[in-house]
Amino acid sequence: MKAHSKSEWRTKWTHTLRDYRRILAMIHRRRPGMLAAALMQALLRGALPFIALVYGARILNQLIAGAPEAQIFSTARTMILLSFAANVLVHALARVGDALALDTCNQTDIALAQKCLTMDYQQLETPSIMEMLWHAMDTAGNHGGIHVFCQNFAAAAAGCFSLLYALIALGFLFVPAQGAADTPVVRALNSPLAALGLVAVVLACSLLCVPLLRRINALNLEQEEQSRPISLREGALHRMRRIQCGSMDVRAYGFADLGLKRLKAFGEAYMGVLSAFMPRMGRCWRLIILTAQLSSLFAYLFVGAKALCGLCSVGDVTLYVGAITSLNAALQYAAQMHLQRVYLNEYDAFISLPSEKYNGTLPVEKRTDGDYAFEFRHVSFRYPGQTAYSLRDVSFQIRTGAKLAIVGPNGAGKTTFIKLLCRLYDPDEGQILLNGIDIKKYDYAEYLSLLSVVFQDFKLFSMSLGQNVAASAHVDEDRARDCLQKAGFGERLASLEKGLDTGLYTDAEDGVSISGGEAQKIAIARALYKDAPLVILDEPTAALDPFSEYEVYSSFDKLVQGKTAVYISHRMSSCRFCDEIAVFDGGRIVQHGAHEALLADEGGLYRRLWDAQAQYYKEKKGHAAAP
Amino acid sequence: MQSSSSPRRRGLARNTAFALRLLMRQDRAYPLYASLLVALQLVQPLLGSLIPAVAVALLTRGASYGLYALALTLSVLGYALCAAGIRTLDTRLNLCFSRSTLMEFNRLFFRKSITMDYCNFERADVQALQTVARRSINNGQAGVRGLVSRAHVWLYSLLGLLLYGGVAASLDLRILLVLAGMAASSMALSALRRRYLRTHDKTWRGWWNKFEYLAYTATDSFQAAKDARLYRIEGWFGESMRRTAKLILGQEARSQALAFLGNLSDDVFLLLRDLIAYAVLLHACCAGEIDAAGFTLMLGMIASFSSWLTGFVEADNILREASRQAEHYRDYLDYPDVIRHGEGADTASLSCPLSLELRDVSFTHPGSDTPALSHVNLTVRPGEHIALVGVNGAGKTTLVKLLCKLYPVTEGEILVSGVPLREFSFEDWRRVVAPLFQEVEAQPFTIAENIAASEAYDEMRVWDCLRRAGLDDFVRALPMGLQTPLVEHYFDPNSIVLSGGQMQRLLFARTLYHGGDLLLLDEPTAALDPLAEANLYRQYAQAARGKTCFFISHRLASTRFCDRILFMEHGWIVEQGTHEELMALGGRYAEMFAVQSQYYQENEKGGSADEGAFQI
Repeated sequence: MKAHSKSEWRTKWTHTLRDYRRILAMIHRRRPGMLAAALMQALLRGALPFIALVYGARILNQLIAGAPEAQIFSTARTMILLSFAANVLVHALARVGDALALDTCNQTDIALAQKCLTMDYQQLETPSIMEMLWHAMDTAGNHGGIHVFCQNFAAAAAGCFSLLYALIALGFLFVPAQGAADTPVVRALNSPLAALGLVAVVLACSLLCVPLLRRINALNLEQEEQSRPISLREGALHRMRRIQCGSMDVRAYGFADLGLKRLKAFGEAYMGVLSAFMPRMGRCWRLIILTAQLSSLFAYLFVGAKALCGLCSVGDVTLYVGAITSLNAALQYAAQMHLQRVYLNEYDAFISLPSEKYNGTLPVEKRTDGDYAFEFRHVSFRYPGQTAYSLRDVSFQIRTGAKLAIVGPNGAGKTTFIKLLCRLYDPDEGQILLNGIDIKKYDYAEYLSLLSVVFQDFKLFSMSLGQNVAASAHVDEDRARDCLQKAGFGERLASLEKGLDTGLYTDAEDGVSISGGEAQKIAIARALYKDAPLVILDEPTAALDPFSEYEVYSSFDKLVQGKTAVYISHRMSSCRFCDEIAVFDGGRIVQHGAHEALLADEGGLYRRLWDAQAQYYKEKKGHAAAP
Repeated sequence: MQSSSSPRRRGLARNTAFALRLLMRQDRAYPLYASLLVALQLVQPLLGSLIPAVAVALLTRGASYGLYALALTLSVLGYALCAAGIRTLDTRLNLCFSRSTLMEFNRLFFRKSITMDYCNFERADVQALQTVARRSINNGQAGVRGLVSRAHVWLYSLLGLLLYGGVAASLDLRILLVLAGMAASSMALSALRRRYLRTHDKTWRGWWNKFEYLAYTATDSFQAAKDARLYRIEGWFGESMRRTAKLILGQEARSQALAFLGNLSDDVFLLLRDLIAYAVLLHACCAGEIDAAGFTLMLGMIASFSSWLTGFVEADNILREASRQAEHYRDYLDYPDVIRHGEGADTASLSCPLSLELRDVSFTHPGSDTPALSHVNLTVRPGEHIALVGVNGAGKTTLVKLLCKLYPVTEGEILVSGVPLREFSFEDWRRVVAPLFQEVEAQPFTIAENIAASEAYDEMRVWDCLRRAGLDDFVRALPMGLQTPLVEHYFDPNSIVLSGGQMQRLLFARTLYHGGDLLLLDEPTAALDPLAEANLYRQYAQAARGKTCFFISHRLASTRFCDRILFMEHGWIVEQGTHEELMALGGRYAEMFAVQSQYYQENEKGGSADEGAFQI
């Protein structure tokens, strides 16, 4: 039983130490030099009060002993110069440390952003993982994360150094004074055991703080636990003030009242948590203050007794008491650092979250003829947490160089088909093959390089136009211009004063606003710029005017240049220029073939979809009755 | 729209008064607790210096140990009680600061963000201002939050300096001069630093805004996730973020270097002070003018005076820095609206259905020289249904935004049943006009609240609107039905993500629920399949019955429930009439219709590239 708890204790400590090592390594990785600056500063900052204490006591003793003025002044000068040097260094290091700490925070955010952009797509839809992300972001934001950790680390280190200096200073206590009166009291006071007793009492007082500090940490975590759901919901509410999140709806429909009401409710709830916890923590802090004062009282009483018996000088009293106070301070900082560790662990857990996706190692064969054949073989798929299948036993081959149109009602599984092809998800059953090999076996990054996709809900970013097309900070300008031209953006590009350097949107750039149609053209240009052998366009003309749509249709051959192309659209007209059409319904492919053949099937879904749209255009003259 | 190139500066006193006024709205007891805290804080150093003084005095005068123990116990106890009291008040005040931040600072910021004129809100400089304004309430030591949490520290330092500064009279004149020099130099240097920061503020806030935008976009997982993977944007984002972080670090390094200059100046002056003080005091001591206790006392007095002085200089410095950042917050809150809010012409007395008249209406985006709409003249009969068609960027959406009062008219005038549109307040007009925009985004509320834009809704009507929008079956099948929260899917398993088509239906249901007399539908069927589309057209026609309506669509066939079609190009109305009239005209509209319909003609194989029937 005892051995068990001992080993438990040991594991706990190994864990804690490992945590610290990992966190410190992480900080060092993000911003080398940060920790060195913090430690140096701590070393000096810890020493500063002792310069004054040690030399101050010495000067006092010299004065009382009546030493010559020049000698005392030289002691004073040494003290003053030492303090000056230490102060200047501490300040320099503090300023460097502050700048580096800020940068460390930014580097932390960068690492978080990178993780979010590269983690498995499927993980993004796993609530438990999303919760980890929110914890991690909370850590980086609300708790000051690394910044505060570094501050506490520096302060705790300074405290430790103070403690070290204090112990050295306290060492004098153990040396019995010579030539004192030989009475039992004096003998007792003079013995090292008495000094040891004092140290023990002081330590005991300090250690009394430990459970209190622990309690404070526990309260902090509990408060965090209770306030987190509130801050998550508040975070979602704050999307209302993002320009891209329907800010016109917010105004035109007057969501302000509802938003403010909710904000108030969250505020009250959060205050409720704070009001419940802060006074409890306050009580612990009060007790800590009292114990700290208790230990300094013991010190005064002990050292005072010694001084009265002539066992130590009056100047020493202040020195010893000062040393003891710094011990308490060190403990408090260490406790706060310990709390910070818990938060940083959450960040670290997210950043080092492993990919759950099977990632093969096969390189993708580089073919100049673009002969990449994709095949779905009995593929079934359900979205995580869903009972209904989104795709059911789909077998289908995308012929090399063919232009395939996919049509079907909303929710038929068209977009899911594309997501599986992009390996954003893996099929639950069946396989997707590239040139006869399961796509899982390929290196994922290499595999993705085969696909140029314009998603239905594509996203452009508030950066320069050129960078948006290249999806990179390095833009091949001629190629970008060429792709924009092909996508039908040429005229607008010519009208832009700054050309490819024009910013998009106003979120982060003083950019231009672009209409939905223009955005779609840029997204198409981005797909072309990537120049992958399989082009997938999901509703690429939904926001285009009929002329632009015609341009895309009529130059589709030129756009895809003999590549394999998959075209999903609700505009049935797009089927006219595709070689092959697959009709999806209820997660299955219900019809497939060429346009004429499908149209001939009077009862088929394809015919119904076609007629629904074509009816408006067939009767060229009779625009008569409203439907 | 103001050019915010040189917003007025308000000064430390006004900013602090502003912040404290907001705080007092939440906690009237603040002055009481703050003054108690300041009083205790002023007593604490007295008690603190008393303990060693008592100890040294008693020991050097050979008092009995009993007396020594009693005196020390009492003074340590007093000190401990004082410290505990400070801690208690501190906790109380921190709660008060949190409350003012959450309930006032954050509220005003949020309210401004969701109510300020859209035409201002979409400006890049306002977006950047929003970022720094937010920073000004998020950090406990900075900005407007810093002002409230540091105000009492400033007061305490000032009072301490006045109270304990009395010892200055007994100090050597040279020491006083050095200390005065230190304070002056320190204040001058920090003012210099603030001026430097203010000069570069605009550039820096641009960097911060960019950095935060990138960080937000990358972590707001659903927004960009698919494109991020397919185009592997992590390299691009990483490089852009690192580049921006480097710029920020450079700025921070310069700002810290300036702060170090202030530190260095303090250090040098303190060096001088100590050299003079020790020389003078040691001399006096050795000459027997003062004894060891007097020496300690004098040193203590010098140290105490200068620490009060540096304390005040520092507190003042921090408060001024907070005030500088609070300006961002106030600039944001005070950003002037250009559209009328609050009181306005009476919308209730408007005769329905509405008639509209656009007289020579132009709109130019600020900073642009090509008008998005130029000299549009149009009369809309009561209850008339107008279809707006034309190429991308022709000004159709701009016209809708003008009619919603999201943009102000640059030139000309819009009359609503004879009353100028600008006479109505935005809040009143909002109840008249029901728009459906191109961008589909849900708001972070439940489905019912998204439809009613309110917590209090008519459930029957919500269901009816859902039914007409074709979303009722879907919602009924949800475990939480109308109460299903949207936009909270990343932490709430009950929340759902709607597909593009479902979103369009949801927003249409909202438009139906709104019931306004002027219906503005901007490309509402983009993500719907042909069958759903045909159904929804019927619903649009029904919804528009008896109302004045504008309908924008690229699917020309869908405009057939409209009375009149306007063809727009380059901000002008170039053709108008019924479908038949426009087809007979054989102009741009006819051309566009032919382009779109060719694919649906059964007997000719349309759409091949070489056809070249239409010159674009």
